[in-house]
Amino acid sequence: MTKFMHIRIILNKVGKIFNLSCLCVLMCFLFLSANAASASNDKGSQTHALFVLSKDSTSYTHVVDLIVAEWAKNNQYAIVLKEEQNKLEIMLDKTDIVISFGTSAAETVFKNKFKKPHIVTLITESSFDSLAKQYFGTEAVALAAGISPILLDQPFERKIALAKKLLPKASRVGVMLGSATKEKITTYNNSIIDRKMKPQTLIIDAGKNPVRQLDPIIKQSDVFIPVADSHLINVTTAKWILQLSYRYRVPVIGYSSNFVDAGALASVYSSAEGVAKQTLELLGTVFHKDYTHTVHSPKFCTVKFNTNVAWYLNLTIPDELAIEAGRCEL
Amino acid sequence: MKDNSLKLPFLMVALSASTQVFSAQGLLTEEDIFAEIDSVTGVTHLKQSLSQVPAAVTIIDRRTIEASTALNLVDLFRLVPGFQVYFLHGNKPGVTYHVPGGDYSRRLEVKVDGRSVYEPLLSSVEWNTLGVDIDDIEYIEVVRGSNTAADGSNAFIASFNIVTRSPLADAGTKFSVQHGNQGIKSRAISHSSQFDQLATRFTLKASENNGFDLEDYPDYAGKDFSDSADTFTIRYQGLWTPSVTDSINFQLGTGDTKTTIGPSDYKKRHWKNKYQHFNWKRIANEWSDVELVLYHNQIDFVDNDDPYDVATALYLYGADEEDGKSLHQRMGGDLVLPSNIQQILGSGPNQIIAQPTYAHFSDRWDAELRSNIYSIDNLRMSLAMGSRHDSFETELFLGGPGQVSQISNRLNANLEWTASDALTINLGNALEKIRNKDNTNSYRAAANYQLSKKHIFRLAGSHSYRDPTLLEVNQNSIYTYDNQGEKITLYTRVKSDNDIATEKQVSREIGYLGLFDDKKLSLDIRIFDEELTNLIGERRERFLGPLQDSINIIDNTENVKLKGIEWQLQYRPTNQLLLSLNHSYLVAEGDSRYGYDKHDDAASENDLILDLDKTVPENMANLLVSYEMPGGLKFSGSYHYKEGYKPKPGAVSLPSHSRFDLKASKRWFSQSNWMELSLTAQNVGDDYQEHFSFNKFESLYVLGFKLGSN
Repeated sequence: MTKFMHIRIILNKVGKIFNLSCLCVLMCFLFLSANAASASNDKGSQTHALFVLSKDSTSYTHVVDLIVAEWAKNNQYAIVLKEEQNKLEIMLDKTDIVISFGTSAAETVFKNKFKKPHIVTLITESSFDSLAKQYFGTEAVALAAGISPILLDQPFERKIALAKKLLPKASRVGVMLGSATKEKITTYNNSIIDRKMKPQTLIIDAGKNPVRQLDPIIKQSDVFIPVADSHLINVTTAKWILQLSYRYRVPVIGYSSNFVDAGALASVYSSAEGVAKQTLELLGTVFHKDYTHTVHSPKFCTVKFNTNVAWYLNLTIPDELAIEAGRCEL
Repeated sequence: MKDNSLKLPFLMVALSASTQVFSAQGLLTEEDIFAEIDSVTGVTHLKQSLSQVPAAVTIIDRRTIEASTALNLVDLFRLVPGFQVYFLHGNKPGVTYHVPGGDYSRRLEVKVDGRSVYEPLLSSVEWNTLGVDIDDIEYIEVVRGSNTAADGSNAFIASFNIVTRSPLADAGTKFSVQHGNQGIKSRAISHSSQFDQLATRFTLKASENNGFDLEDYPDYAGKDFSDSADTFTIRYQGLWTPSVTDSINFQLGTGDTKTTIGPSDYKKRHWKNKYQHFNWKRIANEWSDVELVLYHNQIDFVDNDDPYDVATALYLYGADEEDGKSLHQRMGGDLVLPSNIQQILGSGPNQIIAQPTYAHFSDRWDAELRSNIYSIDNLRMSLAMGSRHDSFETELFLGGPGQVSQISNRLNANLEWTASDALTINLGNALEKIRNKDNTNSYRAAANYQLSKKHIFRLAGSHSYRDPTLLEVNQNSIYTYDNQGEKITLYTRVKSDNDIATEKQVSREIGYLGLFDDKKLSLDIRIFDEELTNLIGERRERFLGPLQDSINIIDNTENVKLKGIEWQLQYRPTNQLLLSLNHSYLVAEGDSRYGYDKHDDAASENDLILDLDKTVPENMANLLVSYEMPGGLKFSGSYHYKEGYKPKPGAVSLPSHSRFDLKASKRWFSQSNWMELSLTAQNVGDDYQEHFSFNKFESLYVLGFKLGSN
């Protein structure tokens, strides 16, 4: 796998040589045409970005590819895997900004005590909080050190809003939390109550029968919202949530594209396109003098539906509710 | 090497028990959100989307099933391109993919929730004994093309996995009844509930029909021939989930079917079957799961036969239509009866040699341990090891009392490598070993290239092997005379060749999957080139026995090359409209070693080779359109076209036929109940010949009523 990263880096280098050649030809042309173009200005407009990936898997590389497609038009870049420590150290010295993708990539950059702007993307709120405390003491210190996280987790309110738009008559909202998310129970319950609905919350116990825990909650709900928790909880409960939702004809609002493919009625999530779009926007503003480093909630969202499930539940999905990495007006 | 391979899954599983990573600290990472939820698994047993699978796959889901005009399970397979559905008699369906089907469709793996229902005693699937009603099915996953690398020898040409509805997905009681012409009657009741920790579902079904109307066929007029069937099945499913990581599924079932053996003789056959199926799955951690599957299938059936004694046999097997003389009389000059037979006929008792009934008993035990491992970036593996014990007792097929059995072991490895965002490579291998025989090694390689989210191209190739079944190796159907303890063979009906070999297939394909308009429109194309050699069938050999001049031998008789293209288009723009269209164009070239022909002269005996040209329909097409009107009234119509083909090599080609099926249904809902009324008409219009000239498929009209409570 690292071979592919090497190839990618080699290709990037070839691309850089090509870009430089083009630049030289352009400069000669400008010089000969007696326009006093300033070479230093051209050089100054070329920002170098370093993309650090947690893994060489499509979840990360797809986002990077989308960003690079735009970024490379006017700027320089390099891509490294977080395991490539030596290369990373060399690149960190040369680059103007770092964009890390994923928790472990962010942690690697934090460990290297990088002093320039650092956009942390593809990271959950939970992971960023933990890393900020571990390496900076507090989140505020981390932000002051030039770090700008773009959170991956879509606000719970968007799910509630989608549920309300899909099912205006729904009054009872079932929510499942796990050990990684149980601290948010009050926030989520308040969010439901604010929309004049009644929360039915379950904190799933991994050691007990999941069906017995889920059954009474789903049975008494008009819509069910499982909150993304640890991988194990997500994978092991999804099947039972979906089957019970069919039994009681209760729509499920999930948190990923996978969840919709597996049988949820809908999901609100941050797609690769949405994350790339927001990262590019932030890259455009992060060097402005008046920019202040802050925590960025996901600006865009993707809302995806499973039409077969809609058919089963006899629900009609308004076309305008489907969003493809757009502004989340939920 | 083999030992190491066997240990690997267990090692992986053992290692997996030690991992508890970031999530244990109460943190949620991006990888938790990216977690894959189970989707298509049948092709490689890995969690894969249709764009990643190494084969062409058709999913017949619940919506398609409800939209279809199908009255029984096999009707659904017309929705799959390249599949041929035919009826040997009114209650003996056959399903095949590309290759000629014949009396027994030997090369198709059919699983119900992962349990193989392939019947080794008849080297085929007996659809009547499955005990699965259309209403029980959640979806059917059809792998078009060889899937031996994942599903073993029986999936030589294709495989089905029929996934039934989970007991968790239903609640309450459902009752359904159907009545139609041709004696069609069926009643089914099912009840799903939660008993403390256990989700359960019971299903009882009774059905009957008269089969085809055989009276109009001139040769059968006035004869008491019937291909009717009367079936009763009971099925129980249980699901227990003691913790989030463990789930235990078990199924029990039994069935009783009274039908007829085969076309042309219409002798009675009475099936009784039972099965037990146990599945334990543990999701060990973020990157591995382990699954243990155990099942037991048991079938026994009793066949009626024409009882006759020695003297009668001489006439029965010797009657010649031309001169009315018996074989003994007509071939008296050539046929020298052994002295002991002459003695028997001269002075011995006129003994019964063909009994009025024959009992057959078949038993299969299967165990499989499977582990899916996702621990390495971009690399996913499915490893499985399994063992199977098949046995059967059948006096008629084995030439006497006694039992034959075999143990076969298997190792499967399927690997998926996401080489880049656009390229997915799949490799699969199945090593199978029948005790005391050479092992076979089937493998498959595929590359899926995703040009964009909408366009996926696939290049795949496979080498597959199919071992002869227990029956194909051991058949020796004989009629004997008991001469004071000494068994004297008077007549041999069918016998297996001593050197029967493994069937082989080399397959290459180019596939395309187009997903448009947010997957509302999909197009799947498969261009294929398949070469199958050593296919097992029956040939005729010169054999001078007391009562016969030739014998049928089960042997490797056919070689066939298949080339063509098939495609399917599915369009579901709204909840109301569903359209499914498929077409296949298939050219078969090859030969079948028919063997000895009694009308040939002696010089050319054993040399008769039959052409396989046109033994499969060159063109088949199916269109299903379903539209639900406001208010819940739903109309479905389907059109099926099958080009004429020869049902057997050397036979006269059947005429091409088209049929139209129509269905109207409406469902009413109340607070806690629902009710559905439906009318289905199959083959609206003229009758057509179904596989044989004597099978006349007439129009069927069936009224259905369903009642459900939550």
